[in-house]
Amino acid sequence: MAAMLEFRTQGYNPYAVKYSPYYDSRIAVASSANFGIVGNGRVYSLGLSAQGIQVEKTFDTNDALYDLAWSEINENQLVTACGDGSLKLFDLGVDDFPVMNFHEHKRETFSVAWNPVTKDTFISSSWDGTVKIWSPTRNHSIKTLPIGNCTYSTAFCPSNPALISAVSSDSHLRIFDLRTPSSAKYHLVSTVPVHAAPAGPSAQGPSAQAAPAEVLTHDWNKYNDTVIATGGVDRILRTFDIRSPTAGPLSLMQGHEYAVRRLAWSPHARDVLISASYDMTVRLWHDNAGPPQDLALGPRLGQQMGVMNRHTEFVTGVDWCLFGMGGWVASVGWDERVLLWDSNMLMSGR
Amino acid sequence: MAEASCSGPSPFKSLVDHHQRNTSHHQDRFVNNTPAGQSFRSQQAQGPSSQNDFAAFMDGASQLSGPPPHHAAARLANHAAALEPHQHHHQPHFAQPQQQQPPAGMGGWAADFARFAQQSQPQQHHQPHPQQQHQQQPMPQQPMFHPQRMAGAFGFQNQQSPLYGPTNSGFLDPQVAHAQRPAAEADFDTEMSKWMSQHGSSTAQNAKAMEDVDAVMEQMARALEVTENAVQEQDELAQAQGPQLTDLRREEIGHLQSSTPPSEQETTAAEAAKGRSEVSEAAERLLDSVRHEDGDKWKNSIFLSLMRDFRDGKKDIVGDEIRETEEEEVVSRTS
Repeated sequence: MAAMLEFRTQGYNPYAVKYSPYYDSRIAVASSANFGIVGNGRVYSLGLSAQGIQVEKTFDTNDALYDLAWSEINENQLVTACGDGSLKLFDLGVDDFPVMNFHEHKRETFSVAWNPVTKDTFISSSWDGTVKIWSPTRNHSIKTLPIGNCTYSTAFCPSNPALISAVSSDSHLRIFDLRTPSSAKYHLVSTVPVHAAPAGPSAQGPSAQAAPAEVLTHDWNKYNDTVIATGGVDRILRTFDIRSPTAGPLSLMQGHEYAVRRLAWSPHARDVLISASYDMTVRLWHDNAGPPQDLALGPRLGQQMGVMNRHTEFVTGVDWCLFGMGGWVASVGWDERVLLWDSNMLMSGR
Repeated sequence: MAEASCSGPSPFKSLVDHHQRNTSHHQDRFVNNTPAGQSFRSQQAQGPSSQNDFAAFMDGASQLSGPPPHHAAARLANHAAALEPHQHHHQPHFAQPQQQQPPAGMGGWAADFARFAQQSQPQQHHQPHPQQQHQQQPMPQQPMFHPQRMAGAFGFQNQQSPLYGPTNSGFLDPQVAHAQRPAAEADFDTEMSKWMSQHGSSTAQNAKAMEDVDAVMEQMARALEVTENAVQEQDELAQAQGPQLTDLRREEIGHLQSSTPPSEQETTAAEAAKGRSEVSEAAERLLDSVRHEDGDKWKNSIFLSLMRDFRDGKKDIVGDEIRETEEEEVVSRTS
């Protein structure tokens, strides 16, 4: 495999990495001391230069950091998900302390995402079983959506700012539509049982049914806003059409040997996604999506296009670079390393 | 409905409770002991306050459930659960607010939320065979009142409703609930009549059994009286024989009294041991999941090495740090 750019987060174990939506040379990493079990957190803002990866800024927190999201409205700001249940908004122009602190979650905040369309809100999910919607200018949440289980991941639909998704420990993917009245199930419009068999006539293809398991991560397809991919403890990536919540998965991608910690659809290709796992690998996938499929044939089997095996501990974060020709990826793991590499090398079999 | 007595629930007690229940509370069956003013019917107009209700509920739930926030063992258990084989998946033991009954006095938000959670969660609890489970799932948009669902609404928590998962029908619409309430009560009465017809004879048997119990109790009381008299006579005799025995007995009583209330130090030590074992247990579970791995990555993993130290008691979490345990420090000093 081709050379990689590498940065060490000495003494801190990363949980998440995100490319800036404004600069192709800026990356942020959320990390935690002692593998996030106990101790402080640190967020790094890293810059890519001719000399390699350089630290632009770091911020320390009192508890572990599990996720981060760049602001979509201010290129110098990012928000982090903290183990004490808070969210902290940092500004690269302000030293040491967050410019805003949002603390309502009762347990670890595990995921945060910025609204990519209206850009004026962000959302967080927590082990307290809720998703909260925030404005960066208000200390208190705008709205709370009930999940009822440890909620590992939440995301905005990339094209519709009113649609919010969340996956949780109860094996379900939930879709909330903020345009519906709150009295109607608290905006819940769809619940996808990730591990259930499809409703209706039994499928003939690969079995989509499995025992319920925690769903740890998910992401919206950037080209087809009705398709969401999920991954979790059962090690299999699945894609779903949220218009048919009980129809079962569109495709299955098998290969990881342990739980999938994070996945991300490519911003450059409609059928490519990447995943990071407890098996210490990052894998690149093609979901084999094509024309609308006959559900009676069962889900399609996605294709694993390559394995990146350089991390030496659990891989916890992965993200695509939005700029250039496409294919550049950042991955982080508990080996205290941030690796930047070109996924096209995996596709060409090297 | 909360269980008032100390003993466990039984069908008979449930029946007695039902008969003794104040009928003025019947309208609140659906919302678990909430005051009449906070029933579903009055909740509809309280839109803006629902968020506050939820916050209050979350406060209550977090006080009631599980370990405190930021619990290191819980965080570790989360990763251990992620690594476990899928079929034997272990649910982390933290943060399950939906399993709690909403605290008494909570508003409609909490009741709704609890009901929703109870109907969507049972997959995790009784873990039926996958085949059986998924046969149960496709029941979308059923009418609201099904016997099992009624059982949930009436608080018979031991009965798990099969209506969970993708049904999307966990919430009772206030108007629908109001409209269907008479039907629900009729259903309840029918079920109760059936139960009575099946178990009616046992009531008579119970009455006879109670008579028998009375007779036995009387007999025991008489026997106790005889024994007490004998003990008193022995005491008087002993006092007449000399004071040594009395002193001895006092000393023994003193020992007993001093050992009865556990000291604060002992309690703290027990709590520390408990905390240590939680981290150690989580580490052991995690290591069990990967024990068959023999690749270099797994052998050289710093994280797994730390887990081995936790498991073997060489390291522990003290406050906000990972430290070597005292025994390990002694070993390292001597070597």
